[in-house]
Amino acid sequence: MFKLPRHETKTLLAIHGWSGVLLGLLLYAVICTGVAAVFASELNDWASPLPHATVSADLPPGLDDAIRRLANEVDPQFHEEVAVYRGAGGRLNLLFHRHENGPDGRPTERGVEFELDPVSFAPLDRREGWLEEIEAQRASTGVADFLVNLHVRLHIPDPWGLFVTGVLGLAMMVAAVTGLVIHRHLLRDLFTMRLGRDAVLRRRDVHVVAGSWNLPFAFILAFTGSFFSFATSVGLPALAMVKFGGDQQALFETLSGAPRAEDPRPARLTNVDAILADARSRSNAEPNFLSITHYGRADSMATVYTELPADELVYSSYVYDGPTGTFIREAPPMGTRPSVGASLVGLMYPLHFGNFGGALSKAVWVGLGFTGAYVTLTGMLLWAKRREEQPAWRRMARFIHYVGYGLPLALVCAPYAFFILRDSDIPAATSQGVAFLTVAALTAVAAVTTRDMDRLRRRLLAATGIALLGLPVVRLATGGLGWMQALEHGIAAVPCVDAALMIVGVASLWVALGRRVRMALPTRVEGQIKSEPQAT
Amino acid sequence: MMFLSVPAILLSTSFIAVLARRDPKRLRNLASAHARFSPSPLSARVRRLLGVLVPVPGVALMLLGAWWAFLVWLGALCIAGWIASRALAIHTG
Repeated sequence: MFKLPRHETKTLLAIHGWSGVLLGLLLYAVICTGVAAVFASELNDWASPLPHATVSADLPPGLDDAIRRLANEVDPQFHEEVAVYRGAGGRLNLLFHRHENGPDGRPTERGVEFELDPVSFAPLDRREGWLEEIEAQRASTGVADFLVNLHVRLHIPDPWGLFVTGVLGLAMMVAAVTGLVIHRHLLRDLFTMRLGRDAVLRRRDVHVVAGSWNLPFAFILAFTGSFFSFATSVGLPALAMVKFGGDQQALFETLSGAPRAEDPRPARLTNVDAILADARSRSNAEPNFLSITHYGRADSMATVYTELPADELVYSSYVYDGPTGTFIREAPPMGTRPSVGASLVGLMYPLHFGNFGGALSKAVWVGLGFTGAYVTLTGMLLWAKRREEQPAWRRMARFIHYVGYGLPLALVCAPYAFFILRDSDIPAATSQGVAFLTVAALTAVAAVTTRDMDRLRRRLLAATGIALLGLPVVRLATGGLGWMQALEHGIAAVPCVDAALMIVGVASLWVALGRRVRMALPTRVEGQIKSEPQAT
Repeated sequence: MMFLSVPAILLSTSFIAVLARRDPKRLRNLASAHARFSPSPLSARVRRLLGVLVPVPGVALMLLGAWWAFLVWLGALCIAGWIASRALAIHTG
């Protein structure tokens, strides 16, 4: 498509390859976990369903009584803000909290969180402490939280984890743009995939064809991912510094409106159920998050967020006066009135999460994420293959195989620890982290001891397939709901996720045990001449 | 308007399937053993016509203001194109 001078093409190819190979392994981890995280809510419903039929509304009627009852059980200092949202299996989470600087001096929250049954509003769990401590105690959302944390910050503490994933997003954008520019025959080669004797040509084609088809979304997902990583960790502080002389309060007032004048006089909060019903009728969408500031005071306000309304891509929130329940305004994603910038910010969410069209859009986004992971892996393998005459690159190729096929295995094995140890006192993140690292270490041993890399790839794929097939069994064996019981209760996530795991497991086994075509291609592996089998 | 994205995807995917199956460059690279079973390549004119038809359902979704259906269509199209290329990959012997 672009005809560049030869030396410029070479320079761009070097940028494309080096940006990919230096950060590609971490990027691959971020993409793989992102693929699973698209269905985070469904994964939570699958892993931790309630043992009875639940309600369809995320914030069901009857919430008003529950908020009042629980407000009396917590220290009034935590009435500063109440956040109400849906948890795993439809559970209700109510977080009474205040904003403080944490032990490390950084702004955070401290309070008490209740987990309620959405039908009876009976308490299922109570967690308290700093926000990070509360998050660590959230057992029911353990499976998805582990994946999302890996995706968002690679389990590196904030803000460093966000910096890293933001840089990875930028690297992906660089690779996408340079890939577009250096590929002269993008359209002509869209269907050309030659799986022949020439391993370099084969690897080039599988990478280029997948990359070409995935190009628009590689850019979109990388851009939106970088936005989310950098917005809070760099963007807002930088904006506060440049525009408001470091005054973050002034920045927040500009972005979300000035807070109400302080009025600490006691005042009863209006009926929350009525506010939610009003927001439901205004938005034609189901409320999924409620925030109440200054609970029990004359200056309290309630803000209701909803799912994306049908056929919309940008969400709004609805702001109400706390004591009277009077509707104040519809708030855009950013600022106090609709603007192009606010719409663009709002658009980032559906574009990155693919959550705007139910299961269909999520399934498409999973497919796009899988393609992105495939492009990243095949690109790194191609780069290493082209340099395999050098021992360091042969070791790199082995390492890429290890991460490329070992990471999915370790990710699949982590929920085993969640199911087996969920009734113990060990936090879900810890048990899954230990399982993940243990499998990663065992896989590393396999990677070192298995000389033939195609055999390594097949073994890891087969192990992943078996692990996927075993997950529903372990879930059931550790007290999970059976399919019939789940369907009787209207919990579709249980059979659907089980079935998806089994289908992907069988597919992994099929690829792993598939016909092994030995080619007479001499390839130098670890100082030996070996034939390279056909593997893509 | 979710239902709109499905026929749009099917329509565009069918055009892509034809383009992929009868792509001249792909067929040129086909090993001689497979060549006699392969279809004839599309003429440049037909390819251009199909190339124009592929995005038409997406454009229609845009004109209808069904932006989320358009996004689903575009994403599905990218996956379908890759799958078609992968499924018709040539074993060059």
